[in-house]
Amino acid sequence: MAIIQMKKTAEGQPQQAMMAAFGTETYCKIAVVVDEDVDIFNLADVMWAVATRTRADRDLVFVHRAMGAILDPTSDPVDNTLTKVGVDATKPGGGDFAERLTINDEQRARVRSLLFTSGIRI
Amino acid sequence: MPEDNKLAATPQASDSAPAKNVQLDAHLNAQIDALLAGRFADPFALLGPHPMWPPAGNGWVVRFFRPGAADASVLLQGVSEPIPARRLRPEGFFEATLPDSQRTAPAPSSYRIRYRTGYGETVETFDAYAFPYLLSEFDLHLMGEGRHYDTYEKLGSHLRTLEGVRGVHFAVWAPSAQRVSLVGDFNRWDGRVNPMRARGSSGIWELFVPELGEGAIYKYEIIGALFNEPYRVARCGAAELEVPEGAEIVIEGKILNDVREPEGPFSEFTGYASYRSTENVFVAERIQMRRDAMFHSIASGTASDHILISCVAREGEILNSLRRCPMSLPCTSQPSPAAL
Repeated sequence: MAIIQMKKTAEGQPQQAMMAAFGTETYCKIAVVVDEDVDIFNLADVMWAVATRTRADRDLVFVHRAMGAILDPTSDPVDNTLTKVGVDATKPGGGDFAERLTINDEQRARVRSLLFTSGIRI
Repeated sequence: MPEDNKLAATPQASDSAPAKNVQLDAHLNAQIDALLAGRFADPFALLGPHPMWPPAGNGWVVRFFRPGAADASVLLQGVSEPIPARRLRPEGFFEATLPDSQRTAPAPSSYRIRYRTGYGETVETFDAYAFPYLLSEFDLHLMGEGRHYDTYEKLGSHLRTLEGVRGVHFAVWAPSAQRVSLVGDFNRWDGRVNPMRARGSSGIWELFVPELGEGAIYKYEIIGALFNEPYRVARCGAAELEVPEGAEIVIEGKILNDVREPEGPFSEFTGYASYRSTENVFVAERIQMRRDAMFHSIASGTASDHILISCVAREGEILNSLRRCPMSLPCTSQPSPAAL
């Protein structure tokens, strides 16, 4: 499974990236493409992007009967083919989409000091 | 390592006039240092014909490196006497100043370098660093796209006549190299003598060596980005295999074609029992090891250890593929828990 982070500037680019990843080697069976605001080294964050930005009917890409790894138990027992799946978890372009909420350091520090002055130690 | 060693500098970069002559000297010295250390990746910026800038002069100089040469001169067409070259470094780095009448760059076939070797013999050669490059921008573009269908005519070694001089053109794809140099009998396997020219960001390095003929023995000496120095190999074993010079253990043998033997499930790597082993047979014929050889293993039976190691390479391969796509792809990751 590959997690790909990209700066999408046009629709269809995540699909291009998935195909590049699939074509690289046989072990890459699942490719998830996310935006720049997602931490690709944190699978929970990646799944958050899948849950909130993927619409299955148009964001899933299947490549049927692709060459797979012999050691993969889901691959065809005779010819080792399998189905690769790409998940486009990037925000749809071309309009406003739900923005990610973030807490910056300044706000965080302010909350901490409020809690501290209220006698709450964290 | 000085800045000059970096690949980014283009062959033309050195042709822009530095503001002060002092700077030129420092710059030139750094370049020569790098060349003599075998680390200079932009040889056309230093070697061959170069214009002088006032106040140093208005003509042209020719710089060349002939290891161990005691003295050298340049034989220029239309000039009856040999033009003596100054030895800038005792290792054999020379610079000859062409007469003021030389207003433009001397043609590659218009001059020869004459030098006396450390053994006392006198040799005359054309200057490899006077010749232009051969691969076109279109070639590089197509190769970059993977759509060049005649690469066998461009890469590797090919007999060519360039500017009226016969020789051999060499081109090799070494995208991560910090420097590529041509070594062979013709330069006593000295990687400082024939560093190659990097062609922009294509990853292709090329050099035309005049007067070299068919049957010359050569190799590419590559300074890789991984160790920042050439990766040395040594002959080993019965079949004269080449193995890393620092190899700890070398097991030489054969994988038998069409022979299969039953074996247990494949599971340490995958984390599940897979009965789909290829059941190949490897026959070890010879084992060589250092007296204090180290064997680097991963924790057997720990799938995450195996998968992490195998994912490191895959992650890089996928990232390389993505970067070749004509779009902005800053990062990729292949987390181990989900691999396979």
